[in-house]
Amino acid sequence: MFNRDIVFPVLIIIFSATVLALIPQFSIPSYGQQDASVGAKFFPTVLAILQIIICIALLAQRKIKQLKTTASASIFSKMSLFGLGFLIAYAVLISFLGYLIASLIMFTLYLIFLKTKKASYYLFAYFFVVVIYYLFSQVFLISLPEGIL
Amino acid sequence: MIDYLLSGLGAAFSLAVFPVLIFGVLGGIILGALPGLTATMGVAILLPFTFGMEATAAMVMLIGVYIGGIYGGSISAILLKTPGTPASAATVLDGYSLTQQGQAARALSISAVASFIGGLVSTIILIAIAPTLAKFALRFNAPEYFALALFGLTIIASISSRNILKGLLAGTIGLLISTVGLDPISSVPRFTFGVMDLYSGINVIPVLIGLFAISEALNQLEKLGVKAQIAEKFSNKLMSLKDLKSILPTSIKSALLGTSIGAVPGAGADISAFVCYNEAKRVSKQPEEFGNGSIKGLAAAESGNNGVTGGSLVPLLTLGVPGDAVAAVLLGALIIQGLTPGPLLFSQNPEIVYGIFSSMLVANIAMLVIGLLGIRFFCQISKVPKLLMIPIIIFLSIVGAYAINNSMFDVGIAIVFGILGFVLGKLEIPSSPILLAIILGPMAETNLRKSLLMFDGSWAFLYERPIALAFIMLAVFSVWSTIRRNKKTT
Repeated sequence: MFNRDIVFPVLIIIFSATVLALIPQFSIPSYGQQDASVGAKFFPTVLAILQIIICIALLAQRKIKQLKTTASASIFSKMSLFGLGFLIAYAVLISFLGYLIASLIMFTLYLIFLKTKKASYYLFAYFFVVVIYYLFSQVFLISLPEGIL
Repeated sequence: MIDYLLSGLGAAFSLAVFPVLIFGVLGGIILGALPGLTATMGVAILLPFTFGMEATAAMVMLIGVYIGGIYGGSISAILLKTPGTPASAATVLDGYSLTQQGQAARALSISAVASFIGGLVSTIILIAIAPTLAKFALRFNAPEYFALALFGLTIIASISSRNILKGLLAGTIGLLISTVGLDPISSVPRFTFGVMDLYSGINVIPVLIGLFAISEALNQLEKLGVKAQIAEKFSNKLMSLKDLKSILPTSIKSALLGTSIGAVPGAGADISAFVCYNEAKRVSKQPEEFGNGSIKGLAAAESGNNGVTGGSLVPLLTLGVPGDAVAAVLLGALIIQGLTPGPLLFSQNPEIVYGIFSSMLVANIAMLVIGLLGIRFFCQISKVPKLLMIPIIIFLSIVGAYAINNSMFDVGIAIVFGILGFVLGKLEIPSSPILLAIILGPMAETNLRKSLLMFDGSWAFLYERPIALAFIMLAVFSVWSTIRRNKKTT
């Protein structure tokens, strides 16, 4: 059975081990290191080892306290997966179509997906998108994604 | 001095300066409230507008933006769990809990009052003992900065209320993330995998947006039914006199602490807010309330971050050394106006210096008035149905992440950290230590290695430098008191 309290520390241990394996690949400056005692590898090495120790302690803590394995729901529910998809789709669309068009399309699709029938919600959504566009691009003169199309 | 201050106050209320000041404070509050737009960015954006202005009006407007921007970040932190600026990350801990309890108006009024106290005390100290504080800050070198960062990192133990081990794990994840990019001393690329965008490291603002805003949007989405939900009812009641009495000592103490931190070059409002929050929790008789809607926690964070506003101007005005990014932009503004910051500024242009001091007092009052008057308007945000609020948070997050460097890479970082924050939340691992570690990690590493270079590889700097030793002892005491408190409560 999937147990978060075991799987996550184990994953972090694997991640830390990977980090430790990557650290020796850091290039050494051609001019030689002045601070030979503590170089570029020191901090990441200490941190990766610390992470492993903390994860082992977390596993031990679980064992000592004999925490019961409770049936837990999966991390990503249907709605959170929809949120993830929405996020990624928006980021992709904004890079192609720019802020204004991408936001109008995505807000509409979002409301349609959630079966919203209130016209006021759609009006509010478009109003918000246009106000932010005006505020950023005309008042604060901050560039918004313009897209490549 | 009094004469100059009075004439400065006269100038601040003049027709030429007062509207500019109000515009600056209001603009700062709006910018600060938008996720991704920091006070630094606000000051930088408005800098070109000051080119044609008279020196006092120019500085007043920029300082107004600075003060308004630091406060503005708390509005979205309290209402949306989305800190507008990194300085408001600690405000989320208790501010959003109060909003969830239907006390958004109370939280916003406490935030405005605490910010005012922080800014006011900081300004008074700036006026009174600026040169002395500057001399103290000048004694900071690499060992002292390392010790300060180490002390800051001990706050991780305090903000990991449920399980210190999980908090420490989050802290090490943050510290490891802070090592991505060119190594600060020898410029060796670390974990960059040939990606050019990673060479400059991972920017803290997309991380902040991802961990707090995007992950919260995903959380809210999960709680959302298919049908539209009605916004939760909340009280319009502002803070009471009892609340004011309760937060006053904490706010003044945090203001003093924030001013001292601000006076140290390199330590900004974000670090100050966490340090003050931790200190308030450490001395509190009800530490268990912190993180669950403690008004003292909220006041400490807000007073602490606004306390930096006066402190950061100490080294700028007295020595010409900018204490943080905002002060660096202000330095540029002074130079553009043909003024040279430093000791000579006090003798050659006292009307400018005291004009700035007086305007800071007025700007803080303006911030309080606008903040309190705006509460009803700000609270309307809480009434917006969650169904609409979720995409709004996502859009503002993506646009804010993009606006920092006009980079889609930063948008990607915000999304990755949004997912990470969401997953960690499910695993009951707090996100705040990650952010704190990313802010303090580079400071700790750089100064540790500089210290070792200064001391020929010896670690003696840890006990040979009195200020560094004092911070290390404070760090040890902070961890010890947290562990002792946790034992008592369990």
